[in-house]
Amino acid sequence: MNHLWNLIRKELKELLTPASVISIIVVALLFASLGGALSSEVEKAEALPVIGVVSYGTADHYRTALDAIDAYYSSSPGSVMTMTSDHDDAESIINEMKGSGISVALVFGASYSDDIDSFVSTGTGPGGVIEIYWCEVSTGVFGAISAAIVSDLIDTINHVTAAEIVGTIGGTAAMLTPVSSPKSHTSFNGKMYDGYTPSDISGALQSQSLLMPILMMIIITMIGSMIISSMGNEKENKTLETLLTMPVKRTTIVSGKLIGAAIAGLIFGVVYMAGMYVYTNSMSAGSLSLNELGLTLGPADWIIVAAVIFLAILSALGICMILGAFVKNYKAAQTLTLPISVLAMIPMFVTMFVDFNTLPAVLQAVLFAIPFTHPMMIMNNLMLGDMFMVWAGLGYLAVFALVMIYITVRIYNSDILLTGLIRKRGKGTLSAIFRGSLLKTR
Amino acid sequence: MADALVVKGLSKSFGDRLAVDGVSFSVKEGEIFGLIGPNGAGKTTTLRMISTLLTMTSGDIWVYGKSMRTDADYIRRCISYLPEDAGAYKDLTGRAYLKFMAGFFANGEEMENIVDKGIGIADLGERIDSKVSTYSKGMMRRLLIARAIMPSPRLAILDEITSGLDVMNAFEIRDVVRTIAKGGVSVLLSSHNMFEVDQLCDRIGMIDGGKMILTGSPSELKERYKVGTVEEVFIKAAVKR
Repeated sequence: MNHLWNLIRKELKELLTPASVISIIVVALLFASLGGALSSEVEKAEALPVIGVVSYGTADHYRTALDAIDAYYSSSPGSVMTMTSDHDDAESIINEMKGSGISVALVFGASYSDDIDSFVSTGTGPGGVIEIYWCEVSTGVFGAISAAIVSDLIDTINHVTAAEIVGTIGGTAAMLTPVSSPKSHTSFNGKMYDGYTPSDISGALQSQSLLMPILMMIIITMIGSMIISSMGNEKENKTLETLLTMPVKRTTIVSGKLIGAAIAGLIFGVVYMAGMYVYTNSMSAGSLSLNELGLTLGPADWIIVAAVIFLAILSALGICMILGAFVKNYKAAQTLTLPISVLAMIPMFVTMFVDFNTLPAVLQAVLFAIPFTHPMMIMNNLMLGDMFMVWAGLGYLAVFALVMIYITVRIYNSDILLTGLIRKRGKGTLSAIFRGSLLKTR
Repeated sequence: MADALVVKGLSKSFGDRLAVDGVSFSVKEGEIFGLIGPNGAGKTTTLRMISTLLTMTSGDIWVYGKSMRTDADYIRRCISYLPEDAGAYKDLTGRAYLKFMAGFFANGEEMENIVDKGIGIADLGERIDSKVSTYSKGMMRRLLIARAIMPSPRLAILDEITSGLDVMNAFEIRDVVRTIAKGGVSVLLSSHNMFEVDQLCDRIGMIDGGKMILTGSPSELKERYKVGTVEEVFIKAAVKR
């Protein structure tokens, strides 16, 4: 145990260098600050844009429309401005918008009111026309939010105007909305979610769908690269040769490396998770929370999540130590990080954009076989009660990690670590790993 | 004197290539035995097998009477191996490196005593607390020699210990090897420096093509080949093959 702790401390000292820790913290802070910036962008986009109105007179339908706008902007009355530009002078309108800080202008035609009356009585013509001018618009993904707000405002003006017209001809406002669908019922993953649309559910799950795959991909790629590089360094400096002649079991050496790297991976994971949490929360701002949908994790669930992540990290380290056994130096180690990165990226992209359950059986099997798929899906599976996938994934990961560790220990007990693979007629050196031709007391 | 190391019929194949072919020799307690031979002769492979790093294809090795095939753990407690061009963990200080290595041999006060001994052998002054990455080649070699000797091994296996060192550093390191041998440590070293072998070794074994082609003390071999230096013995023995 003392030897194991000695090795773990050495691994941690090597992996948790000031340079590596600072770079991880900087990346996490960058994610968090990016999240903060996105969050303020979303808040800005969700706020009612400063609106300018170009209209003529206060009679009839003009007045109705202006009242509807004022009512819509009742929470932000200062954001509605009356403009003086002429309705058909676009240049003047834009200049006035720029000068007054107006984002969107609603320009009523000179015959707006008459056109509505004509349309109502004859059923022909364009009806009342409101032209919309945008100034200094945001081209980011959140720019669509402002457009949605204005579209909703136009719908409101339409509805209020229609209600007024219906009232004048002896009808009631109810005639305008004889059909309604106030409540959705969504069956998802065998469970009924009353009052929510599929979009509500996917929006709420978005934070988990984004956070875990990205986080796991980063952690696995990072610690994979670190452990393979560490193996390359050990071989290049021949520190591994020295270590292997120490009076300590090879199993202890392998365990020390694995546990040290796993602890470093978990520390980096927690730092990244904090940064990514802020980032993804800002992306899903405005959508329903998981609590509102009743999709929460209990203490037992979190233990399962931690176990799955730990086993996935252990599996990754096992794969990396096997790959690392074949590198000759630090430079060669860099090229061997690619397989582990690809293995982490495939499930990341799939789980971010596609529902595992809707994939063809062959793809499901391939994804299931990749150990890093399971930590990426574990939170959603637990929240949605897909316990078969949870337990099957956990069991598979445990077996996979054990097999990787077993192979690693066998490699450490063989010549391969120092000589690499040697081609041989008949039984090769590779097969020696699984034969009993190793030093018995190792 | 008892045998510290006995090697009998030792062979090692890498695939179809026979790197070491039936090598036999022994090292007495407190003796310095030099393994010489051309590049690729099988010296390092032999040292690696004795150090428990590589498995044997055939033959056996006994260290203080214990067989490699059954008691590799015991042998690891007796030996100390210093590979050619070895390095240390660059993110550790010299002291931390010695402490890490000493941790495999003892705990607590005993470990601290081993570390103190190592610091004394390394003789790096205040630089023992500098990062290993800042050491010169000579400083690194002194640290590694200290690491190899500080746990008081019964058999030290040293591969090209002075390779690439300047005259002063090489002289001091040879002096350290002589001192530990006088203290009863058996030393098996390999070297391409025939002057060093002549100066240091009580006996020499020459390997060529994986076979042990001669053994004897430097003076015996010089007399046998009727030459004045070990270098000339080497040349004559190699040409004769």
